[in-house]
Amino acid sequence: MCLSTILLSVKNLHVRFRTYAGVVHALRGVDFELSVGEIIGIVGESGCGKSVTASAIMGIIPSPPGEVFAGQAWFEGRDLLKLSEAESRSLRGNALSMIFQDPMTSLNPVLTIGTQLTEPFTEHQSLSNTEARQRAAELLRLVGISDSETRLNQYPHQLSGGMRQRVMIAMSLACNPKLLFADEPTTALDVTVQAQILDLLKRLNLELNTAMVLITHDLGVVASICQRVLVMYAGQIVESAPVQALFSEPRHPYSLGLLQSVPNPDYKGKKLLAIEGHPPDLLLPPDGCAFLPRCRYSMQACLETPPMFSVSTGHKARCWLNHPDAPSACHEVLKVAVAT
Amino acid sequence: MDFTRLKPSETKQHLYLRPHVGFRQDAWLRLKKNRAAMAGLTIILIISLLALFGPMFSPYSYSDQTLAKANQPPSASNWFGTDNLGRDLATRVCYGARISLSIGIVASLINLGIGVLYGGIAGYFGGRIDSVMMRIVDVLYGIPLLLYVILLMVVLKPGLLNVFIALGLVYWLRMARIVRAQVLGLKELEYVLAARVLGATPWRLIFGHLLPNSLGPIIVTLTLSIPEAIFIEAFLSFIGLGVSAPMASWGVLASEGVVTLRSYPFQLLWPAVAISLTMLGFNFLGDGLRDALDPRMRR
Amino acid sequence: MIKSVISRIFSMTLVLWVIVTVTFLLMHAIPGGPFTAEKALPEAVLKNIEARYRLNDPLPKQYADYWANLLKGDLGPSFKYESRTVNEIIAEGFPVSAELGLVAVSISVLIGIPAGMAGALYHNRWPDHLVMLFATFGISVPSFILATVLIYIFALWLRILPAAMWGSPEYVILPALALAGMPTAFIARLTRSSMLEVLSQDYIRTAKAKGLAPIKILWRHALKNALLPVVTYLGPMIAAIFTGSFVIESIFAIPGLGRHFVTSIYNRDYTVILGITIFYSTILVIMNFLVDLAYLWIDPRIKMDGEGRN
Repeated sequence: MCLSTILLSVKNLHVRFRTYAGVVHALRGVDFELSVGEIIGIVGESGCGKSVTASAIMGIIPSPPGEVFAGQAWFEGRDLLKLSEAESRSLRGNALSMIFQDPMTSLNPVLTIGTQLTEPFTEHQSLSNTEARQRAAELLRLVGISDSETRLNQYPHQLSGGMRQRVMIAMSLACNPKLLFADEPTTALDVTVQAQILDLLKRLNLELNTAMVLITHDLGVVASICQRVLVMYAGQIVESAPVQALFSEPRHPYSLGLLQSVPNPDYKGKKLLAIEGHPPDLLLPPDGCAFLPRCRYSMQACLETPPMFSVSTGHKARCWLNHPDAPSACHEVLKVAVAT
Repeated sequence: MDFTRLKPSETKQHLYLRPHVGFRQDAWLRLKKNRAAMAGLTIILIISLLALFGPMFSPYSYSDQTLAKANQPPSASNWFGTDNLGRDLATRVCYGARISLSIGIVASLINLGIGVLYGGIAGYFGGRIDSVMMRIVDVLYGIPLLLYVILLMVVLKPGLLNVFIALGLVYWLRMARIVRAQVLGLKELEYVLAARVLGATPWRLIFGHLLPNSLGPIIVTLTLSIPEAIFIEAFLSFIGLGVSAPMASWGVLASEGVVTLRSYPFQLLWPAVAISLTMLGFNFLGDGLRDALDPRMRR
Repeated sequence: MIKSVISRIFSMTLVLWVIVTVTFLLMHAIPGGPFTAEKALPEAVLKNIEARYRLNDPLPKQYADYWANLLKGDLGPSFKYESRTVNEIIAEGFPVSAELGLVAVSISVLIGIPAGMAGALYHNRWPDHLVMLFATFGISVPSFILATVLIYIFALWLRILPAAMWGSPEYVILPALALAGMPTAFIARLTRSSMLEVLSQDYIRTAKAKGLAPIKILWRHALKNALLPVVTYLGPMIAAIFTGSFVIESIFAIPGLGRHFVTSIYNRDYTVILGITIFYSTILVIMNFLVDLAYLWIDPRIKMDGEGRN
């Protein structure tokens, strides 16, 4: 990594939700940093908190049930979590933006594409309607949609899934954001379209230098465009590493499990390796390591919550196996597992 | 730090897992928390008790006339007062409860019997059968319900049994539609396909799988249709087409009470409160059930 | 789009045909004929009546004759009032009922929709509870009871409004309020639940993520979607207003069509009952049809594909 400036710095983020069954601790201390123009991925099972992280930083967590009750998110010299609603709104869709999983439901079915695309311009940049429409047409071309005039007058249901997602991307880039959150942008799309969308994102990142946070449960997506990866489990980040390093040398049993569970055509005839068990209930977050019941390498030490350990430059893991005093067997055990 | 390996028994698995709450328990939990729904349930229970046991405890019957005591305000001997023929209002209100609740029950049975079956069959078989069946429903639905019931009552002559019949002929339409929509949706789910592959007959599929899983909307529709049935009976009696004197339905009591509104307002008060409370109770309960049984709101 | 309009017209015609036929059959299904319920009439009078109403013709001929007249717009003479025709009765009563109905509908919409929206926007807080309380009461208290309560409070006790009759504007207030009670409550609940549903949709989340002001989100994104179900309710609402009017007009002694209907039922005036039923049903069917059209037109998803209704 070359010299880069930190764009976003998240410290100790805690988010909880009040439900009729009790308080759910969705995020239990999330820390990470993002540099200008960097693409990072956040992976994890459903419910681990990846979307909540993005929503919290964007400031769109629905407030009666949800509450950010600790933490900071420093962006351009301001703590996003302490902003007033008006200030937060002025950043949303502007310097910070987000795209979501299902483009069909994420676009308003009764409004034209044009109406929805011109909104960020009229809202944040006070452009007139004609100017906004011109910019909207340019945006469509930017994301690879030809015939922009016709498209602007159409409704979402008249476009294909891939095109709708392109429109979403276009909408999010309207005001040249510094940071884009993409929450499962390709999950609802066909495989071929997935590749196109990922290529598009990569291209836009290079052209516009927009930093991106790609939230996904698909390691393939991570491998294709991310530079760094954060692995989340039960509301915490359990490993953070450059993409190559994660795939070749995971330092947390959960990351290992994720990698192993991807079906490999070379291992034909062998059993599929899944991680047994379920993620813990976040109504009563456990003491100790959250992954303990499902871990093959559990130790006495694991009854205490592990901190993040530095494994090498830019590579951290929240697992006692990485403790400096741990016997060498601990360090080796994961390497051996990867090799097999 | 202690790096010795951990035995499986020491991993404290139990602390990590949430106790599995079945759908029914979860729904009941949610329902209990809804105060309005609980209030509604209580009202219904009280009225049911009054309907069943009220008349037994009363020294009067609903038709005993004591003309000397006509139009008396509530007193120790007549808790609700008397009407213009000296009949005890409290007893008559309790009898009215019987009639209204029986209408509610009958309407439900009809809904259940005809509506659920019709909708289930249409939804399951789909295609031609469904089109024809639902076309019939659509046409019948286009006819205003109350208008038809009134027409039928004109033809059939007033009387409790005929009210049942009139309601029965047209009341099941809404339920049929709802059940059909549910079944159409459920039909595509995998476990149904699995059951079919295993050789289950259509009847078993309908009764064993599809309908039981539609129970939520069925129960909610059932509960919410009851107030409508009660209203229709009260309305019919009010305009003179329902049960006739001396039988004491709440609608009849209300129409009698309207006449004497200026002088003896309490005569209208009791049936009005009774009808309103009962309908309120069922509506609250129905709303609560709908929220509790909604799978999307499940934790 | 054209396809579904045509299919709707077809349905509508079918429904109307069924209505006329069933109503006709019902009227003639009364055992022993309509006059046996009365005290025995002299032979001559009976013959006269039978001749006049052609009751001796075979049923199919009576049916065909009825249709012939119907298509000419003639609903026949009244059974009870020998000098009046059904058409006259309807012409007399309908404008009054229409006025009352219009006021009631306006009240329902102008109060119901904002109330429902307030409930949704302040979900689970006191405005919501208040709206839901009133709304649930509204659909539980039958209109005739509401009417008598209103009369008692405003006419008998406070004496600021008239208790009955028709004439200048102040006569409209109480009946319209009583009539509007249930529909207002229903619209409020419907708007609220529809709005809540819309507010939880993904496209609202997108709008928030774009940093749009809440008013704009509400007005532009949420409203149109949320009001769609309310538009569908308009048809049944008109039906409810019609049937409500039977009782309200009777209680308030308003010379509208509803009261004529109730009177004709009481009098067993069969041609009038038949005629008014068909009249009401026709209006309803046409209203439903118009509402369907409006819905088709508003929702772009349906407009484009020309698919039948969901």
